[in-house]
Amino acid sequence: MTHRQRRSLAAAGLARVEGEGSLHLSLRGDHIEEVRLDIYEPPRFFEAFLRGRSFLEPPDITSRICGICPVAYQTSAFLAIEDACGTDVSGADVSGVIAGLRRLLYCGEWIASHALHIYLLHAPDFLGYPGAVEMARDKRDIVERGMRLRRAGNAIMELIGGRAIHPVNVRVGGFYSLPTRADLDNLAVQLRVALEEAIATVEWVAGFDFPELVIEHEFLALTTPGQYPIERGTALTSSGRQFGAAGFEDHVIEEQVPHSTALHARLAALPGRYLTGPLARYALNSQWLPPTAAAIAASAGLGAECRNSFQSIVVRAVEIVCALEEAIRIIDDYAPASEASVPVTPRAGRGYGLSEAPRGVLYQGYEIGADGTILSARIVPPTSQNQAAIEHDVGQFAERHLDLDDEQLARACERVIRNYDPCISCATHFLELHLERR
Amino acid sequence: MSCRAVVVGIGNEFRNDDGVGLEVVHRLEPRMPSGARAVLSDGEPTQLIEAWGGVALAVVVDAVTGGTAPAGTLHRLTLAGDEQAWMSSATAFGASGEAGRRREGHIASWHGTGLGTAVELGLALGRLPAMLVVHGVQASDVSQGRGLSPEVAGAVDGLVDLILAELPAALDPSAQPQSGTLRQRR
Repeated sequence: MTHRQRRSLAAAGLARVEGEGSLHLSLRGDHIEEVRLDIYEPPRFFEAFLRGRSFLEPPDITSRICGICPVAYQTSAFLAIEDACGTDVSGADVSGVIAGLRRLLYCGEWIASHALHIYLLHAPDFLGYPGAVEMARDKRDIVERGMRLRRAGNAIMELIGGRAIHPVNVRVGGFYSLPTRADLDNLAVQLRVALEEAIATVEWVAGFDFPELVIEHEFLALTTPGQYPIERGTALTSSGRQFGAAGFEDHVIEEQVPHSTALHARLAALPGRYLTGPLARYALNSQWLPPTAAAIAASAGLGAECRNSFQSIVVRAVEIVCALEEAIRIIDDYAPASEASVPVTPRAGRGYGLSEAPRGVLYQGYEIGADGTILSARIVPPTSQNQAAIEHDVGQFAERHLDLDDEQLARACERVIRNYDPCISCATHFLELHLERR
Repeated sequence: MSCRAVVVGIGNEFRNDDGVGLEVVHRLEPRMPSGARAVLSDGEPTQLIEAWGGVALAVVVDAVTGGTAPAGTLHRLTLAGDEQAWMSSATAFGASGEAGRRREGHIASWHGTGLGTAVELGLALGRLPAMLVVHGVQASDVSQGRGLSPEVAGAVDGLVDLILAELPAALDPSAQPQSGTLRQRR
């Protein structure tokens, strides 16, 4: 228990850009007065930047929002534009090829993003290291395994997307070029090795000690019955509400809160917070995991759902297995097509797209004119949807650990934040702490 | 011919002057000599380690903020030698170990944490180039937007020529990398 009447902690520098992400925690006695996660939100800039540009540009432009999840931004963008133009890529002759490669590309992003988060950001928390560098000095082989997994994900993005960072082979209507059978066969060799390492990853993280933090938020995830949701789907909540991309802005209300440039999201029909991301995806879709992922999830002790956010590291590891299994299946089933894309003709209208970024549901909506000019754009990333839940959980966890000194408490709060892999977490192991006592 | 040199441009083209590293690499790409390759990066440490592991020379170009130098100033930092030498040089962009990561006031590259951590992680994993040259271009405006300020744009051509001039030595297998210290030029 603290002996100070009131204390205030601030962990600044959560984002790479100084001053654009920080955590403020105010405590009075033994209860939390305020938890504020200030995050900088680039999509607002991009929404303005997109207006007046061609309907063909959103996949390229939005992919620049995040270096870790460019495919998620590209995917929700082309889904929304194709919807606005009335083009159903899945109805075309080449549909199976385009749909398969889109899922394959997205699997690459999941593998790379989750491997980075598990090995370089999250695992050091459980093993008592201040960061990845210190862990790498002691456990070089382990970190090398994480690097190889990340490389396997990047290899998919390089082959299908043209490059790993901001893929350039993606377009509205499909791709600019298709991979050869030989290229895919070479990739599959690497992915089969990676699958074994992904299984070992699940076994490794399942043995960590997990602090207690049971979350009771509503879950929101996409669902695609018969498949684990990745590159498309219908939104589903844990209380059973279901809506498509076109209904997203009716069901998810974004509100300005005074302390942040980011909007806070809530579900229109329900009070309180909701959570999107691996825990939500798993809880609402664990029955659709492919066989190897389902088996390893069971042996890791995950039930049909997991509500301890510290165990999200296990769910992410299972999702790497799932993505690798899916990637190998898509490659095995691949039959080359004559065309890499279908024509998309602009028309006046609105369109909407939803996909499952590694850190949760990513929504985009566009209005375009008859000539294909973008009139308005709306982007709702997963991190802003999770902000209220993260703040709540940080506060709940902090309240139970008030006996820690300020620095230890700030570190504990950062651990909670990392459970959610928010975009700002890229730098949270490298942050500088500013403690203010009042 | 295997790759003996790599030039990595780090940056974000939607952050005005922060795009300078990418612009330099775009200009270099058509002129790269055989045995050297150009890479674009957002500064994420594992990307950098993958790009530079095992090469004789890695050249990193990034925007730099902080300090009092005028916009467009070129900073050049050379890292080579033993671990101590690497770390003492790498502190200039934030690589100073756990304690250093908690300290304020280092001269931060715009992607300083990424580059500093990449060097530390590269040391821990034994994945560094024989020599790393970091070219920092003093930025004037890193707010959201596209396009370089006139001062930064004016520094690009000279930096491209400078990098092209330092690649041949690294591409000669008999050449030995030479260590250097922080220099600043206008």
